[in-house]
Amino acid sequence: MKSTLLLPEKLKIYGWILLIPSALLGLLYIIADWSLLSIPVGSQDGLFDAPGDLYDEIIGIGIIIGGLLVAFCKVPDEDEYITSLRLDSLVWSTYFNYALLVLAIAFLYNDGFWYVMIFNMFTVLVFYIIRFHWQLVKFRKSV
Amino acid sequence: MKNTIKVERARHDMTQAQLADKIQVSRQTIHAIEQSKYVPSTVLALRLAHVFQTRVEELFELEVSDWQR
Repeated sequence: MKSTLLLPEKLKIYGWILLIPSALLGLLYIIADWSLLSIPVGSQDGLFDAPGDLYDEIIGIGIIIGGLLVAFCKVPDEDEYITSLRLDSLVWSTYFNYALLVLAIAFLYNDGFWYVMIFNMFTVLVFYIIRFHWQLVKFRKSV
Repeated sequence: MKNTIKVERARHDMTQAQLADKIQVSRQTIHAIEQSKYVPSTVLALRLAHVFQTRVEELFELEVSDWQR
């Protein structure tokens, strides 16, 4: 059975190479307001509002593309049982993500909620990656 | 769903790894099927039947719980 929506196995390493530094730089940017460099961009006029500095945009896109590659590249022994682990992990991470978001909507306001929204752009993917890989380790250890 | 994969495997003197190799899944998937923790797709069930030169119905049997939603 062919699972056509998954990405080629060999791209996964590039996913990690993109995801880990992007995530670390992103955390430093959000929590400590620290930037590795500045990428200022042109005028404020135009069809879109100028972002001012492209640094955070590039990091955000790096996390998403890296995360998608890590999440959805095939594993070497990909088979239909592993596909079922993927579905389980995707459903679990969606529930978990929105459970946390509901709590945040109920109990956090202003700056606190703003931080949650920033993290929430990536958390479904991150929770999926953690859950799926954990399930995969358990599966491979099964007798 | 009950299955006789383990019995058939023993009858054909095959390890889980050898069977896994023949039907192109991981060894742990064979283990999960044998433990009835995972119900394989039709394609996989037919591959198993092909390897053991039997019919799918000989390998898998419905249980009462399979009729409950």
